[in-house]
Amino acid sequence: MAKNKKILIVDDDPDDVELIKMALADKPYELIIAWNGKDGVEKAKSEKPDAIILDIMMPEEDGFKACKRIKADRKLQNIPVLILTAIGKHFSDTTYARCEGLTLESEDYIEKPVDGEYLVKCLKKFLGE
Amino acid sequence: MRSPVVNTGRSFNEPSCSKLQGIAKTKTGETQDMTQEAKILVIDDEEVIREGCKKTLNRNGYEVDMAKDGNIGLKKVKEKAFDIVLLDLKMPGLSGMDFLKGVRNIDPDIVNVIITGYATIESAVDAMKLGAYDYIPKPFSPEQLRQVVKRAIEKRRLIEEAKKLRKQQEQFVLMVYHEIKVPLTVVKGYLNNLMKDEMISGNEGFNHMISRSLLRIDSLIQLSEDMLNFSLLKGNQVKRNIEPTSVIDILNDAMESVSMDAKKRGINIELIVLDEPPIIKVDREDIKKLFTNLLTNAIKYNKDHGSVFIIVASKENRLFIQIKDNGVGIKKESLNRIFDEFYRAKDEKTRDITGTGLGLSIVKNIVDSYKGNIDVESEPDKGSTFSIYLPID
Repeated sequence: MAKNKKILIVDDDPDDVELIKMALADKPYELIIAWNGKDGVEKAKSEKPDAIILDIMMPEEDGFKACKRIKADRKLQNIPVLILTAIGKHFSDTTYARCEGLTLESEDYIEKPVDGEYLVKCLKKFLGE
Repeated sequence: MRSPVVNTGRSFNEPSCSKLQGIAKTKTGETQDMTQEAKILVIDDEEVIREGCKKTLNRNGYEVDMAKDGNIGLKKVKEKAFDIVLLDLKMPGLSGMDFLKGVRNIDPDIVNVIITGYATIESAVDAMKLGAYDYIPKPFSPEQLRQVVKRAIEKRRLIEEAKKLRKQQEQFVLMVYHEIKVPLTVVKGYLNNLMKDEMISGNEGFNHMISRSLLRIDSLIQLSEDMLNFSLLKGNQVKRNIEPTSVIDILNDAMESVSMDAKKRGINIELIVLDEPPIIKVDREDIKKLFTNLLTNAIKYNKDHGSVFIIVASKENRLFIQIKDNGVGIKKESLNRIFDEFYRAKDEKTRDITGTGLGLSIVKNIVDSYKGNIDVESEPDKGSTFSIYLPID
């Protein structure tokens, strides 16, 4: 039997993490949690996940910076990154537009609350399932 | 370079007290006397004037650069950030007027002061129409020059201050938006999960309570988004992405985004294009918001199985879009207040309709920002018609 795919969830809000877990509960994924961007990049290095679900607004290091660092790291840059955030896309396009790398480099952008089916669909696409 | 807005993102999760301290710190840091560090560029083809200004102003501790025509001036402005430009109008090469036109695109916050002879006072007025702040007639004494420069520096300081305040306001609103929206999405997420349980969604009482809760939460999420949108629009903080766009495309987009709500109530939306409108230069998201807000209202304040018509036409240099519904209409006494912030026309027919009272204010702001017009006609029980005129270029 094939090994379960590893998904790294980077989010500082325990409720958000729980909701993502609920959405993926019956899926054959191994879930790893990191509570901020810095921790997230570290875990991406040590755990080598198959995909990363990344929140934007986090202490220590936000999702923008974490995403940028992941995409700049040759060993990590091929891991698909899904941005999952409460901030509407229009606002991030306009207000945060000057942060290069978000829409360009992340594989997708999902607005919270997470729609389980859609999240699974995205993950499947990026995992090549 | 200005610091990117991204920094605001970082401060989101800092405790609010440290954020306030941060603001206070920058404030004291920057209220220090700017005269000591003001950078001034003198653009004049007469060497005597250039050198004279430099000498006088250096004595006050200002940093002074010189350029002998507008082209060199523009080049210098591109290379270095200046606070004040002292500008002659008549110069060989690029004139002062052309410099003013050019500098707007490089640094619109530079305070330009025209150096001019009495005979050309009219052109000084023209220059001020182009954004020059003040003028000083030739010949002038060192003391007169210092006075004018002092005033210009004060103006520059006020511009900077206003910019900083706008930025702080933007950060604050974004923070509030985020802090409100995150818990709301969590609650919504949990409720959505509850509804997936057939034991719960199958129970009429539970179903009703959760459905109503979800509806109220959606309306709060909408409020937080409207507030942010509104505040950013007011402060001109929305970074516009102006590009040639087809209005029909945007209308189709907007129709798509309200289609679910329309379908639920059996409301038909029809787009009637009287003549193919030209491509206009707008920010797609702005115009989509404008149409979506109007369509949302046309659906919300409609009757079940009602209709919405969108009529598009263009005449001369104006684009005309009409959104017409045959819903509950607006009472005469409410009609002139509907564009007011937070105003909501409430009566027995609309009591159950949730909303923020910001939708139409945002519409009005967007239309105004494109120098357009919006009119409304309405009759209770017959429906409302919103007519928008947008200039084409």
